[in-house]
Amino acid sequence: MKDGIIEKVNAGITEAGYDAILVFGYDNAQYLSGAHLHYPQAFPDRYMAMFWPKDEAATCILPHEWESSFLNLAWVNKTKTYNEKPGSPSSIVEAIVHLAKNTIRKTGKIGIDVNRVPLKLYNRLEGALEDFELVPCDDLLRELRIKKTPEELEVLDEVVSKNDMALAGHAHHILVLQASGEMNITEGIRTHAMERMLDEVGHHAVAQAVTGKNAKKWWPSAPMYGIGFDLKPLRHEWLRMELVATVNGYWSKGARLLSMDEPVEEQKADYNKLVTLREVAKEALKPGAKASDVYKAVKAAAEEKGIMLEPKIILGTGIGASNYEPPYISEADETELEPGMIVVFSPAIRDAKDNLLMNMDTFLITEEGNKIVGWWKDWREPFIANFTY
Amino acid sequence: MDHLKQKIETAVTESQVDAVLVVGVDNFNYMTRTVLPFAEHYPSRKAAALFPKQGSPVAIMPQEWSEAVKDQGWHGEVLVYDENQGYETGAFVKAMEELIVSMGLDKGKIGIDSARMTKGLMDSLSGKLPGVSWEPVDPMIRDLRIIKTAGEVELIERACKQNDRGMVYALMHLEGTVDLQRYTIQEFAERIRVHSNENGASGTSLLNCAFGSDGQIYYTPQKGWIKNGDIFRMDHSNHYMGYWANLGRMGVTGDPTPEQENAYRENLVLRDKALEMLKPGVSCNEVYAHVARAAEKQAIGFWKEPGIGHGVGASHHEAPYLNLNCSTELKPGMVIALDIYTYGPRKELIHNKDLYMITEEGHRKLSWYRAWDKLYHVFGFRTTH
Repeated sequence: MKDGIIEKVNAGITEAGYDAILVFGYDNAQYLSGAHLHYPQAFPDRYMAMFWPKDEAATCILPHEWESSFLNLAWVNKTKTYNEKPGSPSSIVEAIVHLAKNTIRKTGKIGIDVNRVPLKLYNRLEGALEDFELVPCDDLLRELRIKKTPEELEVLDEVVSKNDMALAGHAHHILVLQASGEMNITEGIRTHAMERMLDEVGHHAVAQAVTGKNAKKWWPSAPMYGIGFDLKPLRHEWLRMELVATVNGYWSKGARLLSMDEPVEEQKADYNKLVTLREVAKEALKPGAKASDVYKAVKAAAEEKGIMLEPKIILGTGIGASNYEPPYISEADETELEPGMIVVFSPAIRDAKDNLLMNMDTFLITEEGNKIVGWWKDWREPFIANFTY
Repeated sequence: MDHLKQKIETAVTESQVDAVLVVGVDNFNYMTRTVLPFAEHYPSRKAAALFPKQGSPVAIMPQEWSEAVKDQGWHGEVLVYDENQGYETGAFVKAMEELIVSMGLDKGKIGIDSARMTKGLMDSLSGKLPGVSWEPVDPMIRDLRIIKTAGEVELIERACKQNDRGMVYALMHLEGTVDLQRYTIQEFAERIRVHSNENGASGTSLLNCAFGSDGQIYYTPQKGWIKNGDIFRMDHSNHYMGYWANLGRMGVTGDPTPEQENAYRENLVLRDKALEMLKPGVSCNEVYAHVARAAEKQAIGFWKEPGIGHGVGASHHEAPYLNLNCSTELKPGMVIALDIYTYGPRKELIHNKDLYMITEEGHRKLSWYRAWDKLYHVFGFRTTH
């Protein structure tokens, strides 16, 4: 993965006319370094940055405590640590200034991910680098990240496939007569994820299994997210299973529906609504189409067929070094789809009982149109739990 | 927790701004006393809370998170924005603009958490609302958060118990399996999380189990099998209703060697030195210096650069910081994670991280569930019961 990304980044920096880029977002830093540290986003009071001068090796500036962990995982082998004044950006700014002044020309242009850098840190940086031209580089990072390299696609294929397999893997254990509670099922999904070597341990991974009254909500039992309690799925109810997990810092998002025993007619009809929306999306997701066109096509189909889409949400996102990134299947995203982009299509609908039903399907945009990634089974029907053993 | 609500309202009222706007996930959680679902993993998806001096506060967020905030008893209003109304943060900015105008604050002074608000978001907001004067209020938020109310301490103390019990229960499962059934490190870590949840925890963040040479570094993704003879470190952050415990414990598989036991004892020596200084009126860097002097005097090597601890509360790592650079004076109501890293026989990082509240008299240990005064030995054989 390293070579493809390094080549892309170097070309991007040159084409954009930067003398260097300086990024602070944990997702951007991971993308540029390969270090999937799992935890920087859980430390908003600690700063880490990647400084990448044109045609030179990048350096990671980070707290001393994190250095060895970074070096253990990154393809970047230059680091600069600083003595932290947590909550105060002055130390990291000093380290950056030292690097910038010794690496690039005075008055050089430095691209910064302004959509990630905290204002307080940026202001300090702006003062300390007054001879340099600081400009946003978010568009460059977006363009780099939105189209995946073949190696990135390989990892994404792995993580998405394993995600689906983990969901189905635990679904196999669920029986109508001997059903266990949400907590047990949630943990079962996690266990099946771990068994497939997903990074389902740590700060970011979450599974959720909801049924009955809890299936009406996005996040029941707040703030006990992804834990579940003793509610057991009953015959002819839905069980919604969700899993977010990573491999080497690359994300997957999965959601599947399980019907407790053969679905009744209403359940079949409701599930078919999701299938219909997916078919519309599959038709629309192709090179040259705008992300907003896909949204509009799905929205129009839902309106035409009387499908109650959950309001105010977008219908999908990209995944990669984060689990929520461009392109967005949103009315507001004018991105033209291109081969190599990945989209998790994730419509949510309400059934007559107000249950929130969803499938999440990952599509790769190809030259010909698209390809569904990682289906463990054919999801034109839900997973159907057996009655008993 | 009503005292906290009052404390926040008083701070906003007495501030020099017309309203306070927080966008940092931890600040949102603190100020609204609710927890957003994994929002720190969505840097381009925004939630915020606006506290006007007069009128009801408003929480602004995507549809997916709104119900959870209401379910947690948020006392203010909820404004759900349509994520289709703008690209990335564009929809949020549009909703904020309408809200601020509707509240008559578009010519006012609004305090922001500038240590969390991104430069890009600030530019977007100020572009849409040119009449607003945006003032950093990070010191105010820091001062609010750094001293805990009794209700906050109670939640942290419960989180500590859940945290320690999570680790102890996982260790109990490990006993009798090291040579026979064998666990992966990943499974062991997961067991900590599960048992912490079973004990009532609301969520887990940092979870790290480092065995053998992996323990020489701060963190590495958990992989591989547990085997005999390794010293190991368990680092675990969990929260209870949005209030965090952040503990670290040490164990050894099989019988510890004298070198391993001695290394752990050395760590406790420095911990005890630090405890002498955990009291009101002492500055954080004085605590650090006291430990550094003791380490030098007794020839105990410790990892100086990370410091020896930090605050814990609505996040698992926050002010004050026990390091050379932090001159904050300890005060009653502060909660400190005391975290001194020393070294094992093979340069493994050793620590025993506990939480203490600063009291009028000195300190009180919040992570009291187990003493952890010697290395936890994982031993025994397996029987069926």
